[in-house]
Amino acid sequence: MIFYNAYQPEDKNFDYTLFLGAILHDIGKFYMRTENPDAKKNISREYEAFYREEGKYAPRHQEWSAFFVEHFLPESLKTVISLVLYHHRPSSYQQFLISVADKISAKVDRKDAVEEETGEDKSKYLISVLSQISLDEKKRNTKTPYYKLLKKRYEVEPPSNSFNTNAKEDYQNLWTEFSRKVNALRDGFGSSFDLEDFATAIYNLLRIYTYNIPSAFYYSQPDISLWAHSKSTAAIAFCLDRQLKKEFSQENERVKILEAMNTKLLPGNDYSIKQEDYPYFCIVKGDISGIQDFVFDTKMDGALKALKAKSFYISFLLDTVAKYILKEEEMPICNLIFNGGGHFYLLMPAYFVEKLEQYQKKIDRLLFEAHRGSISILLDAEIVDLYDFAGNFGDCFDRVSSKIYRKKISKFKSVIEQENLRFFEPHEDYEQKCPHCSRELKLKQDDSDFCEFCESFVDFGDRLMKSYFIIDSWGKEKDFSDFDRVEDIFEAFGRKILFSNHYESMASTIVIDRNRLENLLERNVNIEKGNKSNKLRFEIDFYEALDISTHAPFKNEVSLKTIEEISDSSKGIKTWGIVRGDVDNLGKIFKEGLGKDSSISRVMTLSEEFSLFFGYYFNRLVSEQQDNIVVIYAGGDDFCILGQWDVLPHTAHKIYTEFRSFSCHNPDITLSMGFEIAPDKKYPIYRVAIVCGDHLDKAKEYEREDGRKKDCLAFGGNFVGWEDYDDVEKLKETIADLIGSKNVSKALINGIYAVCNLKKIAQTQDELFKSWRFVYFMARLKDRYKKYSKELEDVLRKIIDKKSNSLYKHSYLAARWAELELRR
Amino acid sequence: MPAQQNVNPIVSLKNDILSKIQTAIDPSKDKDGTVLAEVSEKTGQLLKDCGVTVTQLRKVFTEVKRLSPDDENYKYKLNLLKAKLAYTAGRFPKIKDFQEIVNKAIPVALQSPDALSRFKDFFEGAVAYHKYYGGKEQ
Repeated sequence: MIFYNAYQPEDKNFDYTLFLGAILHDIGKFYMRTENPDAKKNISREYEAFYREEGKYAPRHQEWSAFFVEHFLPESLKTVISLVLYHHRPSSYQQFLISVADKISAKVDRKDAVEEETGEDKSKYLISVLSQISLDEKKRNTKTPYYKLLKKRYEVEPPSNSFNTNAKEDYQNLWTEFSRKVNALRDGFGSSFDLEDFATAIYNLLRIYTYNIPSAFYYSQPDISLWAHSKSTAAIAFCLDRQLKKEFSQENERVKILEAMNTKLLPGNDYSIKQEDYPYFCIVKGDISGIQDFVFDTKMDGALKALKAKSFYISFLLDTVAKYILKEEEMPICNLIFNGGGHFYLLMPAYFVEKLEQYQKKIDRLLFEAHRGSISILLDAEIVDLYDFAGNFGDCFDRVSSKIYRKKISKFKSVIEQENLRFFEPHEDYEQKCPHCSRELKLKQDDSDFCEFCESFVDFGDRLMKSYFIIDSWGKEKDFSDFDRVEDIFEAFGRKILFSNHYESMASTIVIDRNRLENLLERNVNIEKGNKSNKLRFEIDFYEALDISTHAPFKNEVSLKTIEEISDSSKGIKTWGIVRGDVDNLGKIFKEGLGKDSSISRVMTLSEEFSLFFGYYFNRLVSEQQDNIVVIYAGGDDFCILGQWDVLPHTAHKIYTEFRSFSCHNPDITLSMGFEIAPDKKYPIYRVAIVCGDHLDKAKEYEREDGRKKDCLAFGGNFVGWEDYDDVEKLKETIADLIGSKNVSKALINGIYAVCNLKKIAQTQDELFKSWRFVYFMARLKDRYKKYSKELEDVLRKIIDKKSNSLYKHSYLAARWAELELRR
Repeated sequence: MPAQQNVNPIVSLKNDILSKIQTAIDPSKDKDGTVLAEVSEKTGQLLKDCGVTVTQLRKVFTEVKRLSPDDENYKYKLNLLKAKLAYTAGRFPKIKDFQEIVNKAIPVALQSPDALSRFKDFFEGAVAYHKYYGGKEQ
């Protein structure tokens, strides 16, 4: 959806026109780069008066945009033409809104191209923002640009450090597919779906097709995507409109303000922008806490379903709160700048700061009723002015995050006040309580150990993993005296959801797992329509897709594998493990990584890149491994997976390798992980997850001899720099192969343990490391297994460095890993 | 008689060891033990190349293992070791190169208990690497 109050009685025509005008204002840039001769001829003829009047000899991107709107959009949206055509020469209020927003969005996006790039050698491919991140200001200029391929958002490929000088064909291919889908929308408009559906589909198409297109390339380095620029322009335009309408009752007064802003934003007037100029905006952050305790507090029966349900619930709850705010404030979806990793950011008009408290109170009340304090969402906001947009936007995130952090000290403050300090009294005193949430246990026929609400997560998780879609509708908030089901929480915010395998309208249907659906479509599985569906055949690109990974292994068409089944599939020890990971230095990346180029578009692009990797692409990576791995959660900048212990290290390394490629091998963007093996398959998930998290935290403290930190895998408490992973794995495989396949004695493992102990003794007692004892041991083993003398020699050479008389630092880990694989 | 033109690889190896053995045994000069490790390995290789067997080494090694820095008579026993090694070398000429190396090491080992520990480590390492390089039992 675009407007979550879309079906309320107010006239929405102004809003839809403004939205489409803003989101499509630069679509002509995409179109003109196809260099389509027929289109150029037609546009030249139809819009000659406009460009010649301004002394130009060929149509510009605004003329191409206008032509697109005129011919590809429904007739009833003709008013959008003038908005895109005049966004560089505005006269009406709406035209000014888009013009000013465009300038604000692009204010610091223009960077002089390096001197080497001239003429035909200019790249029309988007520079990956990840290749431009630098945590050391002195080295910023040495960053090598990597270029994204000109593909759809979901066709994820690693960026390249070179680009094709002839981009025309790529643009043509992408445009052909895009325009065909827009045509289908135009033809179906009115008869099959309404304006909200149409706007939703356009928004989703733009996200997918313009994600990897540069917004500008001729006068600038092409490092801002057309999608980010268009979305941020629309978001800014709506903030301006709402705030100006709040402050000025007359339209002509609002136009004057916009004219003044436009003047100040002209090139060459940068010096005139000062702090507190036009403070018409605010950045709102919503942050959820208590995730770990909540998600992992689950019983073993139905554990995977409950885990999935709770993890999804956390993400979806934040999404719901964010959209609830947009609904109440009549703001479009484009103002949700980012949602993932346990927090969201909204760009809102400045007046919202004064309303923040009322939203906080409602959230506190509902979440306390639902979770008795174990889960909370805190909101805070920071005023944003023109100065912030002009190059300090990253600071806004830091400022609002700091406020949220301080606010965590006074969790549930409003609940305490409202309840007249009853918070400190025994809240409920039932004879039987749910151990999860302390609700009264109602007597049930099945003699359940948990309350109905907590049990509902199992059912919720089951439906989540078996369904393709969520049918989403927004209306009045529903009052509940208590919550019996997960869905009730969302209804308390006015959101009604249904899981379904049938799609309905474009505005109401959300794709849960796009990767899974893509795989089904490739196999020509028919996706069926629901009762209210439009007449168009299913087109996945028209629909919102959640950037939440949900992959889980199925036993058959209807049953998910249990943790026990996953464990029993393991090599060696029959148990499961957990890997948790997150991006290193994320706060620093957002605060400092972009340097003076910290524009709203770049910050948005950076967020979406991480979200794309840890959402859709992560899901694809894990599902392609075809291992018994469940994505507990993934999104934003982190993940947690549970699965067959013996495949997890390999999968973790695959994720790492893909992430480094995705991040252009930028040494400032790395990923640390923790990996923990459950002592046995019945062991509580909570404890393994907690220990895993602790080790991940310690991985963040890992430091090499050269001082470089993080970029580490905490393998059951053994800290391995990722650069060493291949060596460890190779040594493990050699050891396991010698013993498992070649019947060499298991004494080999004990011998390695012994030499590790010798090293430890030498360190603690300040003695020499007596490496020759292991040499002797291996010599005897080679005598005994002459056939495998070479392989044994390889093990020895890896473990002992004779020149330095040192032990390979991961010897114990390799041996231990092999032992676990070999255990029967 | 003209000078020998082609240096025997065993002689070359021995000379390399002889040039480093005193450093290896001296804790103050080889603090991290890298020279000791190197010399031990090369000595083990030399023993193998000379055709020395484990049996021939065993008695001498047994005597070395009995040495202890805590024994007030360890200096006397080190000198006694020198005599025993000479006897063994007389019976098994292949050990003569090793004898030469040990004789050069003993004066350093006599200097301190720590040096004696190093000497013992050297012997243990040499025996280990002798095995590693394929030294035969007998």
